[in-house]
Amino acid sequence: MKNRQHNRRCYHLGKTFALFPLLLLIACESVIVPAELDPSIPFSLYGSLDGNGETQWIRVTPIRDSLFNSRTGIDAQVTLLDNESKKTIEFQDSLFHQILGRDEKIYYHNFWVKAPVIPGRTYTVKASNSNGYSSSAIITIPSDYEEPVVRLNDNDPRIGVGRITGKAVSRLVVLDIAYDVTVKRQGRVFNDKIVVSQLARNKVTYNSEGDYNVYVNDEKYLGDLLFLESNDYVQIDSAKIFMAAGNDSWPNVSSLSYEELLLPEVVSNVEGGVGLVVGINTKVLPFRSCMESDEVVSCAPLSIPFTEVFKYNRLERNYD
Amino acid sequence: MRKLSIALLMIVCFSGMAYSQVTIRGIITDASDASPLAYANVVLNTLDDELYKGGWADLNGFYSINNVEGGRYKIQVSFIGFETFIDTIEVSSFEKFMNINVTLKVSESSLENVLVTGDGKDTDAGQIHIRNIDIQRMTTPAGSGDLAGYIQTLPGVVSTGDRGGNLFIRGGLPTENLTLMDGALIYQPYHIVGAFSVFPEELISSADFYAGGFGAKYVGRTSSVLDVTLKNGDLYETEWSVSFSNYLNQLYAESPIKEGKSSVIVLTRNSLIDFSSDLYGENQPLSFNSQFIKFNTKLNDNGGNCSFLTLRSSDEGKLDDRFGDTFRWRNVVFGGKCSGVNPNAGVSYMDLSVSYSRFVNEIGPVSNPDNKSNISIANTQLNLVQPFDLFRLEYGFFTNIRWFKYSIDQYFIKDENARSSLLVSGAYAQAIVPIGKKLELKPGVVMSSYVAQYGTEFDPRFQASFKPRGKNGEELSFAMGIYRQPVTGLSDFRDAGNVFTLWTRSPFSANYELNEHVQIQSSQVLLGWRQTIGAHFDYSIEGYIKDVSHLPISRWSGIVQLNTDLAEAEGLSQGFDVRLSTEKGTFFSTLGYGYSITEFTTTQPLFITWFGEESQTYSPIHDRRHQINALAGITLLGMDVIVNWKYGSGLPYTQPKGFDDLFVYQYYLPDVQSNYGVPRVLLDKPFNKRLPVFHQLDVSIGKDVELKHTKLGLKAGAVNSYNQTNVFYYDVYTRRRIDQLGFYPFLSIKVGKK
Repeated sequence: MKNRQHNRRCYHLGKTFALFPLLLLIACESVIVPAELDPSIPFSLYGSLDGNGETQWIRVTPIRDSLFNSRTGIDAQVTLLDNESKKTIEFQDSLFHQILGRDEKIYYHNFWVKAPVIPGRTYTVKASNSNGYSSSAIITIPSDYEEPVVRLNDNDPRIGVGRITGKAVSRLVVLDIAYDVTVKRQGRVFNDKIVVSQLARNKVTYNSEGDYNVYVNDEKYLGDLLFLESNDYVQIDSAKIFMAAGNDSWPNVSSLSYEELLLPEVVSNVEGGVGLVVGINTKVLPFRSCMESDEVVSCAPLSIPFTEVFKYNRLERNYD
Repeated sequence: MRKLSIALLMIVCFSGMAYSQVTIRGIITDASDASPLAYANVVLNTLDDELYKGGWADLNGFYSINNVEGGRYKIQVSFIGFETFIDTIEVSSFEKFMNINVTLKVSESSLENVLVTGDGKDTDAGQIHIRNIDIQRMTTPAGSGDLAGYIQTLPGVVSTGDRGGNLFIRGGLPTENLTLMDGALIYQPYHIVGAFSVFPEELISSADFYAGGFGAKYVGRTSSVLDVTLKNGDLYETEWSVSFSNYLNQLYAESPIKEGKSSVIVLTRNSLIDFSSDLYGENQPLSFNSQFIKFNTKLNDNGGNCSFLTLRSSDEGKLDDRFGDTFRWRNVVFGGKCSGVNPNAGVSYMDLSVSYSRFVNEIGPVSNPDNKSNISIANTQLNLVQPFDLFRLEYGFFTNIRWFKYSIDQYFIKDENARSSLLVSGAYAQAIVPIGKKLELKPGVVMSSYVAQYGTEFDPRFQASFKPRGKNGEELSFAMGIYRQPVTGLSDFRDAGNVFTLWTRSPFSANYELNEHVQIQSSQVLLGWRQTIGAHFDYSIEGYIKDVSHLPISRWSGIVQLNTDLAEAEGLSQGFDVRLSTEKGTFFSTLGYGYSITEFTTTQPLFITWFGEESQTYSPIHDRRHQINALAGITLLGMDVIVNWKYGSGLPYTQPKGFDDLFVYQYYLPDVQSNYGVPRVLLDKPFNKRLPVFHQLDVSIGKDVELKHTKLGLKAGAVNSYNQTNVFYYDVYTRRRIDQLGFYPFLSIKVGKK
């Protein structure tokens, strides 16, 4: 009952048991191939091209034969082709790692390129290996759109209570409110960052024109997320809107089960590989009313990258 | 089916009125301990020594010879290893029954008698009769042979490895196997170290193994039956033995309590592999122990006998010694059985058994297991045998109640804690109808009526045998029937390193709105030929087709986790087994080959998205296509040399197309920079590839030395003598491969009464 990882040994059999020639014929096949990798499907690609971002990030994962990747190197060249201008730019590799268990590092590669992508244009992201195989995705960047209007509730002085309305966008795929909060819980006061998806909470409604409307009042929800009790409180110090428009490449997953989402063919736009690379157009806005001639207007976008939203904690409750 | 039952009853009634000739009947027992001698041969000769009629005792030692005309005959009763009983009897045609109970004494030259091939006994399709001597003739790495080792030499019996204690019989799941010990059910008779069970040779009188097609007497399982007749303690002599090996130690004793009237057997075993494996460089955290007591009392000289037994067994260990979970299971069995012949009644033989059996298995820490499942059964069964002029009727009644209790951590079933019970009463009947000297038909039916579950079900069974030349030892046998199983053992057979079984009622329903549950159901057809050639050689070949419905399996998923929902599958197994046996002098050999195809078909909601089809057919983890077992032994220079070579083609496993890291785009952008993603297995189709072949050679050399007052048995040998690397299981997610036992020498010493 030894745990032998190596392939079987058969060199000594002939010496020891020459009386069993049959054994010699069958004794030398004890290799288990962990995965039947298809060389024509070399990569898994995930990420997005942001029409409002300065740097594009793509996760490039060679399809591997183990659950986690423990290799630091990668045989991949990743390019971004502007299908209109035919101009190609090469992504740069950057190695990331996480700690698994006590001391085992697992690695992943994100490829980045500091280049804007133009809304309305189509691009091809292609990852190739030295064997001549490649995986690629064609991405169209959604058109630009008007910033929404935020109207705070005049009768409620609390920050973070109000309404967001906006003209129709090609497809609203992200609408998050990111809160900086002060929390008192079990006698301890601390600051926290929490992001709440208004789409996940089903707070976004649309009219017949496709214009959208959201009533935002997340204070109680934040209390639930933080498991606050009667003597605790959460106070919203500031709030920002993170939103993104997508297009048809953004998957419609609401009708799919989690198991279906896991199937490689179900949600993918990668040719010769698996994964999903989407085109988006992001905006980060203050969650406050901006006035112009006594009229509420759209606020100017904040000059912070959309990826700042990843610094917030994404807590979700199932009951919604 | 109701018509068939009524017809059987009518046959019983009319036949009862139509007797005119005599039925000779009785029980054949071992004189030393009153144990029934199953399959003892009974022959009625004329005074000129010409064969008149004959037959075989059944598993209870009961025989009957019908339609004997009045007159004088010589009755001859013989059994391997015993002195033949011969007597002259006067049969009166004015009597309906004549009772002749026979006790046989062990032959002084029993060894010579034992070494005879092909005892010519009749067996049904699917049946293999296992003698005590068969169990002794194994390379078991201990002082005594063990039934587990012998069972695994039979073609059609698939074990996924040398630990875990799960046996798959002709495509059936381990939880579809029924094991009885003196009529009492035991849920898990096999220990965590696969070579051992709770049945060492000291306890076994004989056993009947049915790989399918079993008769109406056996109820509640769909795959196989192992019906073990335990020995009674000797009524006159005290016996004892103590044995040690690097696998286990064992203490055994039997003694009369009241000479000639009552006796007791005590046996206790304890594994040592957990300690001794350190000598081989790697600790194997596997341990088991068992304790057994049987009290027996002889009621009268007409074969009346009562026995009471209790057994406790406990197993614990990790199948993956480094990262695996700790599994534990325990059996507790109490049973009582009384049997006898009524010389004055039409019912010739009856036995009543009452038993209670409990099985607990769990994963995780002792103090707070992650998953735990208990099942208990209290069973009462009355078996009767009644000969008529034209046929013999075996029938009986049973009632039992099962209790289930489990506490699980989201394992298979949504309810994390549950208790339930299942009450059933029923009856069975099987007629044995000889037609001439060549053909014998055995129609039967089982009626089971469940309270608040399943309703009332009738399962027809039919067996037949044909002797083309009317000779014993040449027989074409056939069996078919419908088999149902009200309880289900849920196991995650995607992972051979997991032996946790959750016992419950069938989770599937014919009508979920009406909460109408359905039992596992199997239909089976078997056809076999068996022939004895001369005195030293016999062979058998048997084909089978078995379909099973409402089997619980794990739902297919690409999620890297072990806890899944259940899905329902239909199974189809077909194949054939061939056995060749030779015995001459001190030499014996058995060569078995089994060919089998087992396929499960399942329909799951995901399949349309996954494969574009509603259902998928696949080979489950135990679908071993080819299996060879060669066992041979000889006594040379006073030493018993036994070799056992096993070969099995590769078992299915899931080979993925690869792995990547998944990001789900739902309401928010995935963070590819700081999140690793969800490790995902890219599955093509589960169980799409096969593991390497399995083969292993076990050898043992043993010698008995007679000392002044004791007998010393020495045995040395090795498991996996040429150190073949055999896979036990392979984890596709971690690429972790766990191999079976490598070269593992053993030494055993057994000291016993001379």
